Parts: sequence; C-alpha cells; structure tokens
Amino acid sequence: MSTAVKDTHVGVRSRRQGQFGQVMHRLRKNKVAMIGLVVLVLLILMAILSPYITPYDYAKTSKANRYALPSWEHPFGCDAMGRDILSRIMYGARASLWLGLMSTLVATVIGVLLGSLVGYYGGKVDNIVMRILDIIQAIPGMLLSIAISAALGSGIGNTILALSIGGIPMTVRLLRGSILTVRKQEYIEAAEKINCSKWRVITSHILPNSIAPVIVSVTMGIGNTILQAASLSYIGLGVQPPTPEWGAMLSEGKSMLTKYPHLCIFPGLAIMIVVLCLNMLGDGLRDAMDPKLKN
Amino acid sequence: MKKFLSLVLALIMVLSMASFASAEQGASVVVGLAGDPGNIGPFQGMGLGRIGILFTTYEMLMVKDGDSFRGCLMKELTPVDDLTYDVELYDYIVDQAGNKLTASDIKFCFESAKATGNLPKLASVESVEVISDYVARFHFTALAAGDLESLLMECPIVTQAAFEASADQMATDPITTSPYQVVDYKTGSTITYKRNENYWQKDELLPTTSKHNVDEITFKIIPDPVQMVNALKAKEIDISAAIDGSYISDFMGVEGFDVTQIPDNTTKFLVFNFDSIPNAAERQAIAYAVDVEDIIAFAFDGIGYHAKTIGNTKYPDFVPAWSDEEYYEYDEEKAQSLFDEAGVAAGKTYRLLYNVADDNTKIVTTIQAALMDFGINVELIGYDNALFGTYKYDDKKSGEWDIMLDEAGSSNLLTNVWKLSLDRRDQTYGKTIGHVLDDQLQTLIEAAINDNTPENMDAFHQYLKEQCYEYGLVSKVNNLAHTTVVTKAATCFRGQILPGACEY
Amino acid sequence: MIRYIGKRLLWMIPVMLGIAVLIFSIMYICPGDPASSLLGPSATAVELAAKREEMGLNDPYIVRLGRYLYQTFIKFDLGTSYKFGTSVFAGLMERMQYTLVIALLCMALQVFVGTPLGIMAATHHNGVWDRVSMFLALVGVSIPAFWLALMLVLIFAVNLGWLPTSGVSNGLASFILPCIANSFAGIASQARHTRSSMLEVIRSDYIVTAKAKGLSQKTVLFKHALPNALIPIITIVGNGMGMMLGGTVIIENVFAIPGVGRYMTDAINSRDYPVVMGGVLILGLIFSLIMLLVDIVYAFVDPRIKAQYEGRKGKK
Repeated sequence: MSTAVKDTHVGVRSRRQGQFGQVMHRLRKNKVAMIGLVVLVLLILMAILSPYITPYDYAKTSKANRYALPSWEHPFGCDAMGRDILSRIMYGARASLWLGLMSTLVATVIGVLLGSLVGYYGGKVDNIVMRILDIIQAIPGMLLSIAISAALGSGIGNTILALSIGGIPMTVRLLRGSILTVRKQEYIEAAEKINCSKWRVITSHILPNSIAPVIVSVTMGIGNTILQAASLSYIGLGVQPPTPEWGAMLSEGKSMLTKYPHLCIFPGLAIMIVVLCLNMLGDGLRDAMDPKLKN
Repeated sequence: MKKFLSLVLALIMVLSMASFASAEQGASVVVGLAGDPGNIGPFQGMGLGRIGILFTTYEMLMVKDGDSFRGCLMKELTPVDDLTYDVELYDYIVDQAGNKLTASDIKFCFESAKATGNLPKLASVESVEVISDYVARFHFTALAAGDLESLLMECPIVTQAAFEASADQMATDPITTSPYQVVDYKTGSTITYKRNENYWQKDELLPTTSKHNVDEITFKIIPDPVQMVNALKAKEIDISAAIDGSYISDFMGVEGFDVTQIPDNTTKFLVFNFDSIPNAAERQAIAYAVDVEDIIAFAFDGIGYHAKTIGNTKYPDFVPAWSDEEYYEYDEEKAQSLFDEAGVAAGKTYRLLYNVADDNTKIVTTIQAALMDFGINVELIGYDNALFGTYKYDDKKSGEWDIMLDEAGSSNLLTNVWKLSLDRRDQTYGKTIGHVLDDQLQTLIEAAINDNTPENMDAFHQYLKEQCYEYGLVSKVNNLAHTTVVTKAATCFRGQILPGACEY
Repeated sequence: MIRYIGKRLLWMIPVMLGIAVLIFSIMYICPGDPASSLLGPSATAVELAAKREEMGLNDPYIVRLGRYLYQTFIKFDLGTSYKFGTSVFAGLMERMQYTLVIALLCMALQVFVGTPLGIMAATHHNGVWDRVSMFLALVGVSIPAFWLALMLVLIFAVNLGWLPTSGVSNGLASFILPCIANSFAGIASQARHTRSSMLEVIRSDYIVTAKAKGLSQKTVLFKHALPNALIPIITIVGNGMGMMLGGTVIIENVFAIPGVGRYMTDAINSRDYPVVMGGVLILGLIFSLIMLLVDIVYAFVDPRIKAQYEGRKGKK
C-alpha cells in the first residue's frame, strides 16, 4: 500500500517535470520572449556588477555639472546635484530591480495561492477570503505602508511586504474570475472523477487554463511598483539617498521636467525597458503554458 | 410684453457692457496658491495654506505694515498698567453684512478663538472687558517683549452677529470687515473675493494689508510646482509667490513678466543632539565642515543667504553687528583640527534626521557629501512632513538621530524663532529639542525673551554660537513672479502676496 | 440569484465593521500628529501637546474606538474634518462630483478604445497590427502619469493655448487633458487583457468548430468568442472603476482638481482622522458594491458561474 502511494507520487512528480520541460522547450522557441529574457538577465547582471562598472561615483556631486546635458563624458547628463545619471541608473538598478521583481513575485505567489483556493473551493472559503480582501483593499496603500513601517520597523523585508500587499487583491480577483469559468467544465470534472489529487487538478488543469490574465496584469504592474518604491523612502521604508533608485530619480526630476527633461527621461526609459522585457517574457510564458497550443 | 422684454434685454446688455468695460482695466487678479487653506473661518490655526489668504479675508486689531506695527481696526492703544491695555476701536466699522463692530465683538472673538485652542498664543490673554461701545480692556497674564502687538494681530475679528448667522462657523463663507468679501469658495480649487463697495475705512488711514486696488481677487490652488509655472506662462494666473527657483529665468527679463525676490521669514538650521554629540568642538567642526555656499547653489539655485544666527536678518531684534561677524564660514582646516581635537576619526557615522520636503533632500545630500571629504559618513533618515513633525518633538525618538535639519520662522521677533527649539519651557521633556540641559543657556534665553534689548540678544546669540548647540544654515528667499498686469507686487511679512495692495 | 445578492448585501455589514476597526487601528498606530498641521509650524511642543489632549487623542485605544464606532454606526455621523471644518460626508460628496466625471470618462475611453484595440490585436495575432498596438500599450503602461500629463499641458495648454493648464473652472474643457493622461494606462491594460483572453478563446475547440461550420468571422467573433473572453475584462473594468472612484492622486495633483484622491491624500498627510476614517469607509462601501456588481455581471455573462452561485444555495 505504502509503496503504491509512493509510486503515484513519483509518477506525478515526473509527469509534472515533463510538463515543466515542455513549457520551457516551447518558451525557448519563442524568439520575442527570449529577447526579453536576455535583456532582463543583462540588466540584472548590470545591477550586480554596478559597484565595479559605473563610470563615475553615483554620489559624487559637482557644482559645475548641475543639470549638465548629455555629452560624451556624461552620456545621460547630470542631475540637480551634478551627479552622473548613467552611473545612478546603473547602480539604481540594484534597488529598483530587487524591490520591483521581488515584490511582484511575492504578490503573485500569494495572490495565486489565495486565488486558486477561493476559485477551487468556492462557497464559504470564497466568501470569507474575498470579504477580507474587500476590507484590505479599502485601506489606502500609503496608510498600510506607514502602519507596516511603524509596527514592524524598516528593512528590506518590510519594504517588499509594503509594496506587494497592494498587488495581491487584483491577482486573486483575476484568477478567481477565470477559475469560475473553467471550474465546471467537463475536463476538470473528468480529472476529479479519476481521482486526481486536488493539488494536481489545480496545478495541471485549472491554473494553466486560467493564469493568463494574472500574467498580463503582473507583468504590466511592475513599472508601477518601481515608481511606488520612491514614496516609501519618506515613511521609513525603501532606500535613503544618496543610494539611487529609479523611482526616486524620476520624482526628483519631476519638478524639472519641462526644463531639463533628461533628468526624467532616462530613469523613465529604464523602467520602460524592464516593463517591456517582462511583458515579452510574460506573453511567451502564457503561450507556452496554454494547453490548447500543445503540439 | 414683447417691448418690455426687449427693454429688459437691452438694459442687461448695457449693464453687462458696463461691467465688461470696468473689467478691462485689469480689475481682477488671479493669484496662484501652492497650499490649500482648508477651513477659512476666523478661529483656525495658522496652517501653511492659511497664511496666503489671511490678510485678504480678515482684518485684525493691529497689523504689521512693512517692518512696523500699526492699528487696523484699533484706533488707539492706551496702557492701564503693565498687564492691562485699553484698545479703542474706530467708531465707524461695519462688516460686509452691515453689522456695526463694537467692543463686545472683540471680546467675543478673543474668547471664541481662545476656546478653540487653535491659536495657542492667546493663552496669555486672561480676559477682555467691555468698557464702552468702542473700548475693550485687555488683561494679560504675562507679556514678553513684542507679545502685545503680536497678540493683537493674532486673532481675526468678525462681528458676533455675522458669525452666529453663519451655518458652518464661517468655514466657507466668512463675513468680515475686510475690503474683500468671499463670494465663492470651491474647496480645494478656488476662492473668489469681490471688493466691498461699502468698506468702512477712509483711504488715507489704510494700512497696506487693507488696501483694495482691484475689484476682484481669485486665489487658485495649484499644488504642483511645474503646473504653477505653466499656469503663469499661459497667463491663467497673474501672480504667484511659489515659483521654483530654477524656473525664474523663464520670467526674469522676459516680455510680459516680472520677478521680485523677497526674503522668506523661515531659516533652515541644524540641531545637534547633545546626547550623542556632547563635545562643543565636534559640533563646531561639523559647522565648519559644511559649505553653506554649496547648499545655496545646489538647493536654492544660488538664491538665498547664509544665516548669521538661528533666524534671518529681517527681525527687528536682530542685532546688525552680527552680519559682519564670523559665523562658522566654511573652513576645511579648522574643521579638521576641531574633529581631531574632539577625537572624531574617519569612518564615524552621523544619523541626520530631516523632513523630506522642498529642498531638504538637496541640503542633506550636500552635507553628506561635505562630511564625506573628512571620511565621515552621514546616514540620512528622511520622513514626510507628518512623521517628521512628530518625531522631532518626540523624546523617545531622540536616540535615533545625531543631527537634525529643521526650519523655523516667526511672525514678529527673533526670540520667537529661538524659543521654538531652544527654550526648554516649551518642550514636553524639559530640555531643548537638541536635548541640551544648560542652565546658562536657559537663563540667557529667558532674559532675551523677557526683554529683547540688543545686550540680552547678543549675550544669548554669542553663547549659542560658542556652544554651537544649533547652527543656522540658510535664510530662504521666495521668488515672486507676475505678469505685467501687476505693476508692483506687495507682500505681507510672511512673504505672502497681498493682492489688494499690489498696483495694477 | 436574488438570495445570493441578498446574502452578499448582508455580508456588507461585517465588512464595513471590519473596515472601520482596521482603519481605526491603523490610524492609531500610525505616528503623526493632527495637532501640528492644525496649529501650524509656529506652535511649540507644549502647545501641541495641549491641543492633542483637548482633541481627545490621548485617550486609551478602546475608548476612542468605542467612541468612533458609536458615532459612525449608531449615530451615522462621520464627523467633521479637522482641516476644512465641514462634514466629512458633504466634503467627500463635493469632491466626488469631479472624481466621478473623470472616472466615467476614463472608463468610457478605456472600454471603447482599449477593447477594440485588444480584439484587433488578437484577430491579427503576431501580425504587424498586433505588434504595433501591443508595443503602444506597453509604452502606455510604463509612462509615468505625471510625465504624460505635463507633456500634454506643455503642448496643448502652454504652447497652443487650446485648453487650460489646470483647475476645474472651464467646464468640460478642464477635464480633457486629465482624462487623456489618466486613461492611457487603463486603455493599455484593457487592450492587453482583451487581447490575451480573446487569444485563449479563439484557440479553443468550439471557436475552431464554429469557424469550420463556415460562420462569418464577425458572427464567430461577437457571438461566440467575445462573451467567453469577457470575464477578465469585467474584472479589470470593475477593479479599475472601484480604484478610480477612490480618486487618482497624481492626476488630481498635477491638474489641481479637488477630487477624492487629493482630499484623502491630504487628509492622510495631515492626519485628518475623521476624513481618513470616514472616507475609507464610504469608499470601501462603494468598492464592495462594485465588486458585488462584478460578481452579478459574471453570472449574466456565464451561466456556469450563475449555476455555481445557485448551487451553493441548494447545498445549504
């Protein structure tokens, strides 16, 4: 008996790996997605290596270079304190990518777990979880962040918590909506009839058919998350100057937008590239996971 | 019937033409306001948005006209004894609804204002007694130097009849004695005033704050600094005192615009935490190490000046000799030797608490860079306005900072700037906000507050400077830009625009 | 279905209570001092402490919570704003008129521009049209709203002088730029979601069958594909509407619009407790109602979901 149970587990595991392999295989064939992935990996590498490769010290101020326009010495120009914007963007990738990607990941994982739970079980579980989300979503994000900072203190973990908490309800709602449409379809009921474990029904039958809206929403949301990180530094979370961070660079340049637009344009472009890459990757991932496209 | 109608129409047309003609003479002005005044009722606290509309909306017993005080509603001030004064009103004051203003209204206003707790300075007004129709007797509990005038200016005056007729305690529709009456208030957006044709005061007796050179005034609330610039460029507003320094070149010497620079009444300064920096040499070293000219260049686009004390030179009790004194001008060698004397070595870290608003981030970044030249790190702890306002007075938080960037100003005297942070009687924990418990400092500040003679002022200033418990950085300058519709801009002592007193 | 709706409406009561207790507790633990924004920067620490005492802010948690709940749920009084001196409910409703105009206009733009864009992209999957519109959509979501807003102002208000730079005193003209700037991200997200869910449906068996049966492209698209792709779109629209009625701070700040977002943010920043707590409660109620509406619309669009709602009722 025990061996039989073990066997099915092994079976499940290997089949799941097979499925994962298939997804990866299809993803690898998708050129657009691969470009997105490569650029993203390059950005992450740049972030990791930035202490060694930035052309200037990101914190070095200079009266002579205030608002310097892009030039050969300073390809992206200099900011209000005469600091090199290129170096700040390169170094700023550390905080921005780390905060942006991590909090998106955390929000997605929690959101998908909760969403599958309420979508699959429905009924009381659905009602209670969704009503709790109604309550949480009613609280303005800024207040939640201040409360987190006041109650739990500063630190990178709490910053990620503050950034991710706002993204969870949307993920849950999207997933719940899609699961509701597939929940009673024949193939799900068939899978349940042949005694598939609930976990397996959710992961291999329900999620692949309902995850698409979540991928779209999550990959588009990362830009906002990076921007939001800037406002957290005022309430004891996030990063403090002079450590650069893209969202803070944008908001610093905001008052100079019409006079010295390069202060805003380059950090803005950096954020846009991340959003673009993540979306290219997300589209590819969605296509690769779509069971209807299996071939 | 038709004839009658056409007659009415013709009349309306003529009337509207007439009003249009008067409008053409530049009879209305739009003022761009950065802060939202919120409740414009008389007995509110002096929040930041309120100071912009205060003198257009209300009149007080006394006002500050230029550098000196003079009566506005008050005709005569007669001392009875040290703590008792008789205030005689003009006997022909009427408000916009036609109510006569008498001494009983003065009593009503001061008592109501005191009861709200919004104007805490009024606590030293013990009572107001009605002597006759136009004479009110003020009993004070204590009067420090300059208190009398500022107390008589503190409380806006309205008639009791008008106040009681208002449904919302004048929060949106004040009826006052001012030459301008609020005719429309869209909260968060615009406040429009019309000139009161039956204004009570004779032209030759008008203080600047009560002048009324224009028919209609609109305050437009524009919170975004770039949009303030855009609105002025598009000539949607005529004047604004909140133009960002770096945009001044867009208006200075440009056809159709003019710029006036007026000193702000606030000064930025550093507070050292005595608990963590008890050594005077160390505090002095930091003061010498910071190049204020750099701060002015980075944070204020070169517009501003190095403070000479905690406060600017505009106050009447500022001692002129200080302007020529040495006040921790940037000196790398002195700073280094003082750091050595105090035993501060490279690698030391200071935690700098600041309010993430306006130019403060640039100031602290400049300080950070300056101390970096000595190998000293500065860890910045920035908070938004609400959190900073709480933490700076919070005894429990004082263990979390070594240096604090603060800002202060007062409506009348330098001593009132000093007392905010340096008089331990004004703190909840019996020390200055820099946690100094120095009896000599306290004796000197009390002497200066009670009697602000140049000797007393100088004694305190010199002692503070020597001990360097606090260090004045920059006195700000406001940029007031306007279209040429306004030929001469007028401001109150807080640097706020007085649209009625501007010339057109 | 009616019973389901009734049950959900009853659930609003605990939800409202939950929001009230949570927001009260958050405001309680959030540092920050309402007295300091009331008295202004020239008040000393001692004067501030006296004002706090007078405002009852030094009372114990449970006393203040009880007072707040009693006032809100028994007396139905949301209190008076510290800053404006007017009733929170009236203040909120005054601001809501502007926010409502913006929210409705933006939603209309989002739905009527975003959806067709998404459908076009999906039906021309991987074609030029698909690539161009999706790239534009990505640019749309990643441009910061203030950036777009200020650029629009620079072009249409400062340089061309066609529209006002800010404010609400020019009628509908005041809302044109804010709505364009605000709806850009919404249109983009709507287009991407529509495309994504249309793609899912177009690839499914029954659409392939319908196409094979020789039904016209249009019939297949609007009769068969679109209804099945609607669920995520409804979620996005519902959520977006709920969010937008809470105000759009960035746009309201840039365009100096006295909307709900600025009212609430200013209140949070100055710790205007009655406004924050009352506003959150009302906005929470509106949001919950919209979410209920979304669930009802789900049932109308998809009979299977309706069956699930009713099935639960049967089980009980």
